[in-house]
Amino acid sequence: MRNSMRFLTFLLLITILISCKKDKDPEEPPKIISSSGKEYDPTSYTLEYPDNFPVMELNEENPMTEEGVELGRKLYYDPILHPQGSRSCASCHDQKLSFTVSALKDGRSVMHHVNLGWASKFLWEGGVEGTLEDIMRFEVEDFFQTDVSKLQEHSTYPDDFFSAFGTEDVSTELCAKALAQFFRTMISSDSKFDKYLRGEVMLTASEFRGFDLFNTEKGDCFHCHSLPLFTDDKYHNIGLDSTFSGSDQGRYNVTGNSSDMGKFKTPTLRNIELTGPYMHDGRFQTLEEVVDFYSEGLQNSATIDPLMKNVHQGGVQLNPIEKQDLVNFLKTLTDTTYTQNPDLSYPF
Amino acid sequence: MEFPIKSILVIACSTLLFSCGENIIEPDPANAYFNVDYHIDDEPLVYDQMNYKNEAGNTYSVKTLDYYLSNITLHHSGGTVYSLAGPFYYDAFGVESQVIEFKNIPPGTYEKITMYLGLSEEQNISNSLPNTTENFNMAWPDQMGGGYHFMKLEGNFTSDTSSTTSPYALHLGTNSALVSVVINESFTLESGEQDFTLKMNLNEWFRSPYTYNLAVDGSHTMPDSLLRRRISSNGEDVFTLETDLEK
Repeated sequence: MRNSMRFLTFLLLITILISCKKDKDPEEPPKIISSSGKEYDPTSYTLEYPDNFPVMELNEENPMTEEGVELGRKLYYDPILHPQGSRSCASCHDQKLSFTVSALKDGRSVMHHVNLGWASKFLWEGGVEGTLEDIMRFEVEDFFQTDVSKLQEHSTYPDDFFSAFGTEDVSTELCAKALAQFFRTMISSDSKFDKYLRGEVMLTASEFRGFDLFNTEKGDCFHCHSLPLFTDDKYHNIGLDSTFSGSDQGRYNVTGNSSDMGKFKTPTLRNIELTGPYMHDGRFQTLEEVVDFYSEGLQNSATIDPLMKNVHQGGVQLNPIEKQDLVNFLKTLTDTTYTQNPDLSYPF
Repeated sequence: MEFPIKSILVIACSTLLFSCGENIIEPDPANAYFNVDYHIDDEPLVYDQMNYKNEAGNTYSVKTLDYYLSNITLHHSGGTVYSLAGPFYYDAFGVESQVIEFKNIPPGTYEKITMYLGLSEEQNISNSLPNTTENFNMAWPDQMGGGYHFMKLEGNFTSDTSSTTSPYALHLGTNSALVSVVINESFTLESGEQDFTLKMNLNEWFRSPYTYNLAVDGSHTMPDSLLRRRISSNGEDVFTLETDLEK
């Protein structure tokens, strides 16, 4: 009897809880209309990358849209970012070379733009850490020192900014956001090695041997150039020098911490065949020279990275065949889909 | 129906529904939170300070300490165990540190804590962990057995026979090097919230049962399964427990 009472009460309770009462429809946000009568109606951008890549953290304050990405691409290629209009991002970041150039700039090798959506440390010494928006803000405000009034007075940019962000008021903040959105789409994931991992192609015997050297303690490349991004996004002193001065002091120049002397950010090895010269100062012209360095050329110092276990022997001591195998493996990281992707190319 | 009448009926029915039957009084559950901290015997761990000395007489610094904890198990005195499979990733020098949370477990006396430093055999499979940068950086190459690094302990050292500074990297991985940690310390868990600290004493990695000398045994363990097992065997008592009241 008691249980029957409980059950009936429960039914009555449920009935009361779900009794009809018409809810008011939630109010729609007001439409945003431009000065020319255009409605702000961005199209969400769906970022695609392989399942075996890390999850890319997106910025909730800068949701990706097709309009934002396209605006970012325009800004990347437009010399209007420069106060005198003499250069753009692309002037030093050529897509054919995986978005770098072979010439040194102020004594520095230009870091190539690949998969930076996964990075949190930017520039050789990590001069900027954080999000893509942070580094793009630096590029617009400090590197280019962009005069946004030129964009504001342009015939089409205010409309492009409205399409992307719902405002015709151009700002450095919005320039940075647009560039950040474009950078997130700069994804390289279709090299021969990626195809091998997907089971689409086979590596040659030499490339296989090179992969084994890379991914075991013999060559020991994997600890810093960890798969699948081929960078660990950290700083290391790899033994380039035994003493340090000027820009060779690396991360120390940013932090002032003696523990950071001679440390530089691990660059990605994706497309490395295209991106010489190598190291922060371009001291090595070829991949063969790089491999020679890791094999016999290491120099000890107080801040040598613990992973450079063979520093007292000068390096990992590869024979000539092993060196060639390793170089051949590195060349499998070249991704022509990336270097020829029209969605990343000159848009005008 | 109007809102006030509906509310009254809901309250009345709820009271009727739950007023029947006998009342059984049980203690409120406990929530236990375990943080992790690091020291080297009596010294706190400080990044890249060449002033720690181990049992073998090596003076050393620590630049990297990354590791996983898994299968964290609280052993109640009544025989029941409460486990969290994890794994939980730790970077000793990272900005944030994970807190291991046991929610809604019975209060009372717990006799010990056991856990793995590393990943269980079921977890230690290549590409099985969530696709985060940290997990990718901990990958153990397939050519060397696959799975993940259980621990990376890196820095520089000098020995008592040589003042030359050398690098060391004690990397644990592959199932044979899984560290079974036992904290044989009983503790009382009260109802409500309670904080604990799992304290890792890094010198225990070099101490017992095997006195590990970086200059003699080897500074880099990854290529050598024997060296990995020596370090792993020293890890059973690398953690102690500190309750909130002891801080």
